[in-house]
Amino acid sequence: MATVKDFKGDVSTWCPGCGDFSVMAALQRAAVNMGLEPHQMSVISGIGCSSKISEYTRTYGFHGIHGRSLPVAQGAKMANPELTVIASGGDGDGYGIGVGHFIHAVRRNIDITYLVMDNQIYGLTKGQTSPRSQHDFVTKTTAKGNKEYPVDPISTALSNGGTFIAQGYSGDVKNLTEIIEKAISHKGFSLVNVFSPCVTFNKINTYNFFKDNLVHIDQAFSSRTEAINYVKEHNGLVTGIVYEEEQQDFQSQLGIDWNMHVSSGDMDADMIHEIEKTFM
Amino acid sequence: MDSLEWKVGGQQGEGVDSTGEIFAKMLFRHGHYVTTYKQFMSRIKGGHTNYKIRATSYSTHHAGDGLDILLALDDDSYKVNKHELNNGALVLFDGEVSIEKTEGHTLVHLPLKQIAKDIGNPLAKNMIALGVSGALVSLPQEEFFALIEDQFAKKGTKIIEANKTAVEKGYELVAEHLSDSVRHLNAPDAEKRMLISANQAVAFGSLMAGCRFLSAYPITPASEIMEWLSHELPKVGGTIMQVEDEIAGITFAIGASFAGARSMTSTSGPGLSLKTEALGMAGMSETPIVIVDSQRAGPSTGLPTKFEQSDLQHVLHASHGEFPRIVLYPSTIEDSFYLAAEAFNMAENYQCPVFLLLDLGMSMNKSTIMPIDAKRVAVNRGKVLTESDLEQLKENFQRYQFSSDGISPRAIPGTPGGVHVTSSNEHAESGYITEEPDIRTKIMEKRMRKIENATCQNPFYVSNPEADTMVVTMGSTRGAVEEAIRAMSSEGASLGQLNIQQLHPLPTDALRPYLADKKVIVVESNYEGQLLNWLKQHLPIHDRSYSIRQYDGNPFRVDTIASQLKELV
Ligand SMILES: Cc1ncc(C[n+]2csc(CCOP(=O)(O)OP(=O)(O)O)c2C)c(N)n1
Ligand code: SF4
Repeated sequence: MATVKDFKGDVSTWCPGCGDFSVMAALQRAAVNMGLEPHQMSVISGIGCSSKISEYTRTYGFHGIHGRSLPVAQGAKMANPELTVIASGGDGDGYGIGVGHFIHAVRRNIDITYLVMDNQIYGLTKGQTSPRSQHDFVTKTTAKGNKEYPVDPISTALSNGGTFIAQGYSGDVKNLTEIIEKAISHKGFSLVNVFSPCVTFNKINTYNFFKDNLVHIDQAFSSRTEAINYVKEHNGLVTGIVYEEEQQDFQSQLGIDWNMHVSSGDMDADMIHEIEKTFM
Repeated sequence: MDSLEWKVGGQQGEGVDSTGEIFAKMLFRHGHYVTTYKQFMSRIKGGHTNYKIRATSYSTHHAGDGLDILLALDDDSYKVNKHELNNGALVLFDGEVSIEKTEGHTLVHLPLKQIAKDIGNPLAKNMIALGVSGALVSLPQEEFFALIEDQFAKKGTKIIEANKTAVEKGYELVAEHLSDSVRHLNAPDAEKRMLISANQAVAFGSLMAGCRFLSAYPITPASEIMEWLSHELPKVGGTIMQVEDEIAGITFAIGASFAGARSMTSTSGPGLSLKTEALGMAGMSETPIVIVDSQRAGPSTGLPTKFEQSDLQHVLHASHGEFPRIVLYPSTIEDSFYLAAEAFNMAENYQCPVFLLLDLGMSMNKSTIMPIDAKRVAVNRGKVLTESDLEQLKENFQRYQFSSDGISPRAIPGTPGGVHVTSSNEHAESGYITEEPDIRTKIMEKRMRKIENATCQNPFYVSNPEADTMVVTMGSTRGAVEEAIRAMSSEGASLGQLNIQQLHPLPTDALRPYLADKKVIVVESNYEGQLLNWLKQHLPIHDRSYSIRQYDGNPFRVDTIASQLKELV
């Protein structure tokens, strides 16, 4: 049985106190609790401080390009349904460049888990506004305050047919671990958006801010509308599993007898002839 | 008669395409070599469209310049295609019976619509015209019936009978009004062959080479690859995904390849532009991937349904930074099958992106090819480590291990003992990020070294290598140039032809003898002379090279190439 130590990858370069440490700890702990081995898992990320999770967590990782963790991860799952696939990265990565992929991943329902480290700012590029930055937030690129309003990932996922939608917080690793375990167990696409403070650049959405403002949901809502209303009323500042629904995932709907293995032997002569005939 | 040039023209949505398809298949089954070319506009209904067929008793790669028979189903057909009519050609219109000779061709009006109405099938106009066409070149009526039975098997006997009647009426019309114009078209033999487009051949080749996953976004002229594979892949446990955009198209395929499946994406110029950042990711992370670029006329959305060969520079250089890539460009529809199959071996052997270029001239048009020779295709997955290979490793598995040939063994996710990170950031042998100058230098050299000696089975084809002048082509331009040279050789010109199928890495040493000390003329369909410029970067041909270029959206004509060649030699 693997231990947390087996899931430790490269030495981290995150700032001391960065919320991402806890997210990684929760992911590693969840994997161990579920009896997964590193080789059975694939953590696939984009670019950003948070996306370094694929380097720092020891699995078959893929550290890719900005905003594209989701399609790479979905492709990997399509090729190998046995693999536990985690797509992961920041809010800029996922809800900026990657927001199109996000909505399509939600409605497509391939069985992967999407773990977003939401610090409401761009960390790696040193403090510009992100699509999750709150209105009026002053950053390096919004000196007079952010004039836009933040993307709401939870209600976006809810309204686009998401089958597992949860939100966690870096300050509560125990709860986050539980959520991640449930997300991985969920058959279908699961979103776990995690409030993960950037201690270096975000002086507003701090640990104290979340401690004072987060509301916990004990019991997932059974209706999407109720869930959306509740999340809206609380300005998105909720934690817990917001919504879960059982639905066939994408691959089981296709009903294909998956066999991506490629033999290096002779090509199937019967098949060639069958196909040739269609061109004769 | 050894050859027939036939065309049907009409308004889009009028069944021009299916009319052409049926007649092409008819001629093909009768034993002819068939080459087709479709012209259409980027709209669904309205606007002139036409379908050209050339039937010959010998193998060709060009649909020909002229026309012996034109079925003019709309007013534009005659106007737009008149300049192609051969001496003695016959143009068939709908209307009251009349036969009129003018400007070297004959205009024939026959009451197609009226007869269609009379036999209670107003839609049968095209089938009657096909009957007329078949009768004019003495195709046996029974063979026509057999084809109709095959073609409409799913639609039931009523439709089959109605179409047979329509064809019969066509034969009767010829017997009654045009018996003087009937000719005999020699069919070479009835040997088994296939009638196939390059899109279909690429899809077929990929399937047989073990491709199990394609993710793409629809675009003309590449969509057919995805459509064809959507039927065939599930039969072997694979699938296609039509995803949200081209970026997802390539990144899904990269993910699938990383996880162990042979995978590909197919697109055309605008889609390729979107894919470029991910292309670099495949290069840097050393993930195998096959990318089909079915070229159309650009830039931007350009002429979406027209012919051009102007993506060469793009595929040679697309994406930032430097990384190894392979660029293949079949010069015949037959080679599209084999090169597609080989592209997967190369992608996995060299762990890099492999481009397979096509052009609209071959993607959407058909040609007769020989049945598939399975012996020419073998699956070679390169350096993939199994669980027991990994067990025997004394030290930890290093994904990007330095090696003399630059290729590092790969471990597929799920395999015990091979855990590593695949990285698009610069990395050390382990895969972990590094910015250390010495490692960067060494690993950069390792990556770039990989493809130095990469070569496919037929990187180029050369004919008449001793000639004084070598004409160089790529892709479907081969066909028109071949015929121009054939015509000129009978006039005593000393011309050879070189069709390059592997454009990167360019097989410079192998090419050198064929291009040394002689005049080099490059024929290509783009403004800048991209192929010529690429050759000049590698070979000292600057003072004796010439260029023939065309970028009007149409494929080359044999006569324009011949007259330009005459000026240059
Ligand atoms: C195509 C592209 N554009 C821009 C960048 C630069 N870039 C790197 S990380 C980043 C933002 C990261 O923000 P986020 O995803 O929120 O992650 P964080 O660093 O805050 O964890 C940007 C813009 C890039 N790598 N690629
Ligand atoms: S900059 Fe912010 S997000 Fe990045 S490591 Fe430091 S604290 Fe974390």
